[in-house]
Amino acid sequence: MRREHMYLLEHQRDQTVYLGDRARRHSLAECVACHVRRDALGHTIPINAPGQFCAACHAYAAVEMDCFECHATRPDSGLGRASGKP
Amino acid sequence: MNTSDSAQTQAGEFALLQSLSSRVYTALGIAIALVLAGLAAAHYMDVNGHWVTGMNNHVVWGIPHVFAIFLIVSASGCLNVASLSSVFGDQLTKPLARLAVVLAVGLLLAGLGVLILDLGRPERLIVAMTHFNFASVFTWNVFLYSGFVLLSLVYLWSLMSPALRMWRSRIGMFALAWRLVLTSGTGFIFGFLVARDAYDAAILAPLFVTVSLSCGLALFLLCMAMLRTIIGMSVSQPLLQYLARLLLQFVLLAFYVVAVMNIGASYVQEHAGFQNFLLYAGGGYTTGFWIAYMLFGSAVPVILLTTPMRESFAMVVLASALVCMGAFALFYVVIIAGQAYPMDLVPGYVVTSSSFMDGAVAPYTPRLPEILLGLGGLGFAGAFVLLCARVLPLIPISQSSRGLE
Amino acid sequence: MQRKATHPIEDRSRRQFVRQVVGLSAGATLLNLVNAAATQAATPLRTTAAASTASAPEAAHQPRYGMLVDTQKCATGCTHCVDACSREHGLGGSNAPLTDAQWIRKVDLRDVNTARAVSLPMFCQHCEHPPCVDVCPTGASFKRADGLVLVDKHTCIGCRYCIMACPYKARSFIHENLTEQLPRAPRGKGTVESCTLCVHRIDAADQSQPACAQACLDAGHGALLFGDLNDASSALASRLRKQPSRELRADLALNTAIRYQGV
Repeated sequence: MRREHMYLLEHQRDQTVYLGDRARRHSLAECVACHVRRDALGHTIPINAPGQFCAACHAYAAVEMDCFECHATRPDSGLGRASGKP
Repeated sequence: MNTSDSAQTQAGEFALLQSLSSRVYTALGIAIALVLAGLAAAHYMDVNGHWVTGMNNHVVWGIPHVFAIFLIVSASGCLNVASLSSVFGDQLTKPLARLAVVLAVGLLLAGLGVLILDLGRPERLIVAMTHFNFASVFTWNVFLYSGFVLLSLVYLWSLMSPALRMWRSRIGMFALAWRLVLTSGTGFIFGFLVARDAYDAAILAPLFVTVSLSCGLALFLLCMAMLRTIIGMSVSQPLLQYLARLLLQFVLLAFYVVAVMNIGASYVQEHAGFQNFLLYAGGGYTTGFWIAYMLFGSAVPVILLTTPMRESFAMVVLASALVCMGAFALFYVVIIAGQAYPMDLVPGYVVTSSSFMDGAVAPYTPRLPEILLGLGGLGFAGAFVLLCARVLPLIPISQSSRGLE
Repeated sequence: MQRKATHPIEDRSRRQFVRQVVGLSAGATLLNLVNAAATQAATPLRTTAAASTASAPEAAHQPRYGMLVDTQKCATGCTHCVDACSREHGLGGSNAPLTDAQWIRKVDLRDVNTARAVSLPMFCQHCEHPPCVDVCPTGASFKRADGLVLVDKHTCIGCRYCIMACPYKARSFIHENLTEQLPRAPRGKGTVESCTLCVHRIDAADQSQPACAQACLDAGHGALLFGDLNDASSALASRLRKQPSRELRADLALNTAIRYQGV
């Protein structure tokens, strides 16, 4: 999975975008929902934060990922909106 | 003077830029400083997003695109100088062909660079290189622009290598055809857009072609002036007069197409709104069109080039600079005013309120990052020519030249 | 068979590569089959009016989703549709109207001759011949089989040519870094976006309407009627058959999926 996950992600994203296939097992949001961890207060931690699920391999491999420039990093993302503009 | 010049071209003596005088360093320094500023600006835009520029959801293409189009169209016109000798057999301009090709490549790479660095996601360039939609002019342009560079390099090789000499005119002709398609394609970027009043017209293709001829030659003259100033490259009077006459013809040709385009559009009621905006009520755009392009970019150069003032090198250079400025202003008006003017969503109705600037002229003011990005492109072209002149024998030398030391 | 590989390293990696590719394709095919079987019931691209095609599921009825806007039910000053869309997709305002994304907007108009006032929502018209799809260099702007015109943001390079090309100014470019995106609506800096007719709702087939139409209905106005243009028995198709309506900028011959009445 570690080696091949990009192939799967890219195939599945095309399935979703072009064919409308939003089955839960192929949804990035579902991957995040399971693999996200919570802090001591029970709040979800962004999945691409240092030390979290993605960074565990990506930091070591020094591979940038831009998935989460668009995709939500937490299942409960968006309940308090913020943007990068001052 | 004439015979020695033609003897010179037959001997084909060219030199490397060997004198590293303070003037050369200054010119190169300015060019590289502009490039670095442009790169820094591009990085700033990439990290923060385009909100740091003056571009918005209504005027999505701004100064960087004006620069890019200007550079690309000039590149095509600059290659024309080489075609004059390779294709049309002119002997006076033959020694300049190599320089013209190199400048053309530099300008095109600069234009492409500015365009790519302005993308919302420039790191996805590889996506643009691997995913093609052949209904899109942009996709054709990917091939046309990269083909132009490769073709120019082959052309340069044929100009410099005795082995390819017999292919020179054929390659030159192919290059001429290629750049006509390229420049028309650049015009069609706008010409194919049905959405906007200012576009949606096939005449934009010949408009871009004729402006490319005038602006490309003008930029080449400015490049020659720069080299004359910093390394003393000689420019003979017959050559200068020949190019001045040619510039005059190209300026008049471009003016003709602009005139036809505007007269035609102004006549029909359908386009009356935009034409009124452009020619009368558009504030800065109207000023840009009439004063910057028509007056200083066309009328004044025509005067300079038809009166005895054309004998003076300085006046020809001034005319060239004005032509370039006029072409830039014309592109600015075509690209920006075309977007700023509102679209008529429901003919017969006027918009009384909208949260998305429907019915209203959209504002656009260029801000520093995007201006620097555009200037960086110009700097790149200059640096490219200087650096190529250092490693390739591009500068023609005549017996009367003082010196490349 | 007798000939040994002269470059054993090359040969080994070639075999490995082939194995990987075959394995991946097999895996992907298998996943695809399993997925197809699992989602048979959901049928994301089938018509929402499921009853009409009960007879022959394999004789693929190709839906084309569209909407009818009754401007006479659309009130000046009402922005329920705009607010609903913002909530649905997390379109946070940064108080910068020139660069903020706007997927749907209300436009108030006045007839030049009769002074009659009209209000209507403007959004992506999901044309049959979309200019935005024609001009996209990477094919990121595309039209789905069900008629929705979308942006594949994985492929979008942010050139904004489609925004230039759109006759309705329906598209927006994201000018800043975004955070706190909603999981159902991924969006990010440097790409282009526009109304998707709530494709995530359509695909999921559990909520049958875009958020704007739903909100308009819930508020009691009912100005937006969503449906399947290709399904003759749908409410949308029936109404379009009986009552006059038109496309905006019909002279461009784009055959939009969004039709307007009363203007």
